[in-house]
Amino acid sequence: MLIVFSLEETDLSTEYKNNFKICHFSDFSAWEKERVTPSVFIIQGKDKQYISSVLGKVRKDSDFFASLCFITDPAFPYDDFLLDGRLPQPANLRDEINQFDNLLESLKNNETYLTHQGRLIKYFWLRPNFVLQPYHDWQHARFYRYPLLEALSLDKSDSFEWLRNLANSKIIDPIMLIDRQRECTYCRSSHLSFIDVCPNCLSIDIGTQASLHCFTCGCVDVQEKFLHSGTLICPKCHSQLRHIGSDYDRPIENYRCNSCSQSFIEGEVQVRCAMCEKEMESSELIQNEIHSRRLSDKGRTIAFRGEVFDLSSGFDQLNFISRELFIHDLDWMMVTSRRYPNINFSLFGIYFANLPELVELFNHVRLLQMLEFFAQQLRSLLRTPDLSTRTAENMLWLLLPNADEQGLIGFHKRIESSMKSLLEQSEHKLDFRFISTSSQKLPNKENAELLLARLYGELL
Amino acid sequence: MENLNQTWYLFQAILSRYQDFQYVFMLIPFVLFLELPLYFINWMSAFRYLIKDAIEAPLTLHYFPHVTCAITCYAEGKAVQSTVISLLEQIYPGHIEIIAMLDGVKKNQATFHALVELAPLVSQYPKRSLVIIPKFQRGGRVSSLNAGLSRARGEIFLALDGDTSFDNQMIHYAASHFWNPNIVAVTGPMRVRNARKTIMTRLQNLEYMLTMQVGKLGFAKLGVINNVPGAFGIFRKSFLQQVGGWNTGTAEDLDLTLRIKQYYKRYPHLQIEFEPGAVSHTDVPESFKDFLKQRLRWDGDLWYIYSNKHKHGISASMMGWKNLIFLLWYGILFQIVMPFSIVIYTIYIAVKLPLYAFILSMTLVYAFYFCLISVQYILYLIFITDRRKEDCNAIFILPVYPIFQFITRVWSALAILNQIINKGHLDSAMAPLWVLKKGKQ
Repeated sequence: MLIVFSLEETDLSTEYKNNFKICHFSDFSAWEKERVTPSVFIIQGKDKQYISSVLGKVRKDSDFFASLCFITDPAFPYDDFLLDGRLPQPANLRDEINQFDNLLESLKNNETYLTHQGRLIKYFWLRPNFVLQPYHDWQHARFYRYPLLEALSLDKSDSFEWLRNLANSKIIDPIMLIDRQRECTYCRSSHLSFIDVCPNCLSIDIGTQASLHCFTCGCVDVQEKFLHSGTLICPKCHSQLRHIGSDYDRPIENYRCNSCSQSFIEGEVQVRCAMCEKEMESSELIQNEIHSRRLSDKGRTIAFRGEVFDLSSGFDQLNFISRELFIHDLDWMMVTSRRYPNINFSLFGIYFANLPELVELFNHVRLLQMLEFFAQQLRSLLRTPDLSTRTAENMLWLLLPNADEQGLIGFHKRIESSMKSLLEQSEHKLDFRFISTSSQKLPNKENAELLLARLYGELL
Repeated sequence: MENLNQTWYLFQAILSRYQDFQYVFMLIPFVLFLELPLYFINWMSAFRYLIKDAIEAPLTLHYFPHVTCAITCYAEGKAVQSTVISLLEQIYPGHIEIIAMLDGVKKNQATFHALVELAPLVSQYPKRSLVIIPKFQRGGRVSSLNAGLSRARGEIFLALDGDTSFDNQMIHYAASHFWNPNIVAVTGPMRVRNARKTIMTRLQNLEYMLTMQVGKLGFAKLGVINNVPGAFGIFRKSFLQQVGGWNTGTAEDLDLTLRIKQYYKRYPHLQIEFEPGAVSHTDVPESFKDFLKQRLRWDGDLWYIYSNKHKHGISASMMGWKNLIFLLWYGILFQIVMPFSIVIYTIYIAVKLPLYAFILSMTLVYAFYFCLISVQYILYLIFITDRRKEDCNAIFILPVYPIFQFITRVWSALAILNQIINKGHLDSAMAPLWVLKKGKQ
């Protein structure tokens, strides 16, 4: 179904009529009464203002904000950032609608899309090659705007702030650096004026002054003091200065403050914000990088899973300690066992090589269940003083105190048998690897950090 | 040793019985008829000027015409910057337009970049402008100068070299002369910038003092200046355009001077002036070899100009009797005939006389020239120099100078011979061969 918005009575060509069902509306409110489910929206006509108003309403619609939207005539440059371009030929249009529908189907449909972050992800997801481009607007306080963020945002909050959050949570990736600009420390405006002032009294009343440096006596003074009826004569040693480079030259001090008479090489630069009128030093300015951006892998994962798939949640019941603490304790154990040979321990590593691939095979809920089951079994194998940590999403480390070579072999057997059921569940697709060592085998000079790195290397 | 002893006895004998040694008198014609009167007249003229200058009240005019400085650049590299800066630094209230014509820009990228680097500096000086004319096809000095002339907007046109720099009052002094509508060209003293580098440059430094500063001053005040040098010539642009600018071929400066002189009979009021205050500083060849190479061209060009290009122009009906006589005397006799007579004379006495007599004779010649130079140098130091302290250093080179002069004269004869036999004017670094061939052969 093509929803055509048009002020005039003009019609789409017959080619479209033959291929698609077409519904005409004079404006968005007329459509809202009926809410005919659209395949695409088409805004027809040359009135740019009209295009802009309909488009704005489409992108704010709670259900169809992400729909394809085409125009037949040029729109305002700003609106181009919210459009899918000119109306393609019927065959191409058909392809685009099909692709759009496929993507829409694969989209995990849940409440996520009520939030503005979810709306953004949906918009991106439905346009696989979409790039979020900034729009340069000199009248805007920050010189750049992201029209799409402004349209999809549910409130009027700063789109740059939102963009920063999106970038921090790695939902969007930068593609290309478009500009790097300085912004006001107080209001983040880019409308700044730079003025050089005297470094001594900060007066703006400064000017260049021609000075001379006499080679004979080293006197440096204003050129006027040297000039006597068309001849340069040093005011101090009275020698005649005839040739630059051999009798005299121009010193570097080139500015003079008219308020305090200070001579200086370079003025200090003061920055004044045109928006909030506050003054600051140029070093205080905030540097803002303007990028074009696209949806990240993480963003795509959210799109088709409904949420971020975090492997670590499967191991939640293992009561991990932090990596730093684990290394600290391991170090302590290593030092202790070297000093007292009767004290021994074992280190055991479990590595899941192909979790991301498994995500593709099973849905994430099942995989999560499997991992949770494994974690349960693992927990039953661990004794109270055993410590565990995770150095990567798929790398677990267990520190087993008072477990010698024999104890380690026993532990290895037990964990292998518990893995059997997990393997069966995963149809033998799960690729896990074990590595272990006991205190007797450790070389003398190694520390915990190196030990972990060495073992991890052996696993790969 | 025996020879030296004999020379000494002979010398004593001369002192007692002068008339017995006829060959000594062979020297007299040259000295008496060629050199001494020339120096004498020159110095008299210089003194006349100095006295006049001391007596007359200085006239300050509020005349500051638009000036164009055309710099011919080639492979000077960074050195060209000091030329341009010395022009920017001129104490002159009028506008100074600097045109840098860079010949063969492809080959001389370093010079080009050195010029481009100056652009931001120029904007700091009020009433100064810099135009760079990059010439892709190398056309030589003449084509550069004519290109500059066609582009010039000033009333006064300065033809300058890229390796020459100037005192900061040069334009002030030079331009003031053009207040007088009869003045068509002005030149000033050229000093050696790299005098302290080698013995060769020290010798040339002394030579420049006596010929460029004293010689030109005296001759100019007599109205018979021999040449407006190519590295430092100041012209009234309208007149320069009237004579058609520079002409293809080497020694374009001497050619232009002679062409200006050929207006003298028809326009007797025209003058070429010498301004002692318009000082320029130039680099001279540092090695003996480079010096000889430079002179080979200069002296060879003299013959080319006098015998080929201006064969018919050298006449009283064109340049007037005064300039003709001077030209025959200084240009032909002094510069062309004398080198040959010196060579022939030296060979003659070397063959004819016994060795001791030859040494004696050469010693006498040396002593004579040493005295002549010393007197001139002292007079120069007392009356002429504007940098007395600096010029005092040249005193140490005085004993060597007569030998240098002798070698220069002999080399001059060879250069002229080379020109006559080999057409040396076609072998010039100033322009490519295809350009030189277009000139009058």
